[in-house]
Amino acid sequence: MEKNRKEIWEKFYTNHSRSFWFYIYKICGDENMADDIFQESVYKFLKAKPVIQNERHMKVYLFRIAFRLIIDKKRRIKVEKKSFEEKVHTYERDMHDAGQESGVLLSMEMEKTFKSLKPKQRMLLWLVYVEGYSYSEIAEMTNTKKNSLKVQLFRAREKMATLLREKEKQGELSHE
Amino acid sequence: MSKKKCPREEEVQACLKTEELSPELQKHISGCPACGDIALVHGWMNRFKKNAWKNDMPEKTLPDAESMWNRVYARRRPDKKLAKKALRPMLIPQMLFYGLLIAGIIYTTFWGFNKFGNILDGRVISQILSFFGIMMIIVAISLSFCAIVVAFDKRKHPI
Repeated sequence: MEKNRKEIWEKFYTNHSRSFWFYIYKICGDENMADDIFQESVYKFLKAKPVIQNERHMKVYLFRIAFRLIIDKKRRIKVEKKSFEEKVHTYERDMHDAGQESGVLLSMEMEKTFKSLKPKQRMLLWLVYVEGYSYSEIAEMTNTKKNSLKVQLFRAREKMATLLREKEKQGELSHE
Repeated sequence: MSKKKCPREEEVQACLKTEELSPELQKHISGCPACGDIALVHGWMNRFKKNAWKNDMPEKTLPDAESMWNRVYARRRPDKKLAKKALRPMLIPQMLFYGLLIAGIIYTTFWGFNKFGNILDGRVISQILSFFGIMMIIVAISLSFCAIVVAFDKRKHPI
């Protein structure tokens, strides 16, 4: 039984650990914090021994734990702004030294746009549009009612769309 | 049309996920502000993920599945051997303390009690006080010995 559980775990972890870490990293914006939350989530997940129906259910459960941990560490998110600015500064300096690398610059620009949203908004957009979870799955993860979740998601999406349109306009203006 | 509500929101989302947009749905998206936002954000989020994944992830190494598993279950069952090993430096002072205590009790019961009592004119109260005094001296010697051993051990193996 224990051996079987371990095998299921290893398969699941191999398939999803990197995308799970990446999700945490993109939401909290700090690599060390992402490492902490990742390890703590996995630890709590294994310790809880949840009744698992399938791999997707396991993933929802793990994301749910991570969601709570991210919210708990929200106060530490102030650090993120500083570390992101440092990162931008380093990239810009490196870019200046080693010539232009449009891929990285684009990535930084996108990151900046994404970071303009609140952590919870980032989380919701990521879960819906990148991970492809349904509203009911996210409602379960975030312990929110489906209708309230729809409102939150609408606000996040609207803010993001406005930001993207503004960026688009700025881009057009700078081209002119 | 209200930007807040569109009955086809979930349909648009599902089709964007599978990348199967019918011409009719495409036409709807271009005319509906709510679905337009969905398509815009969906496209951008996926481009962002691809881009960030390409730049951030290759260098990242995560702990492997087995080590994570072992870490959790090793934490659950405390290692008795390890605990014994950690407490080994305390064994000598502990034995010394018990030895001194027994020796002290034997001494004060058979010889010291009368001797000390005689010194203080044989009054009962002074006999009791002298008995406790000896006990306290024994305890103090043992505790200071423990403290020295622990301090040396900490120096040897700093945590």
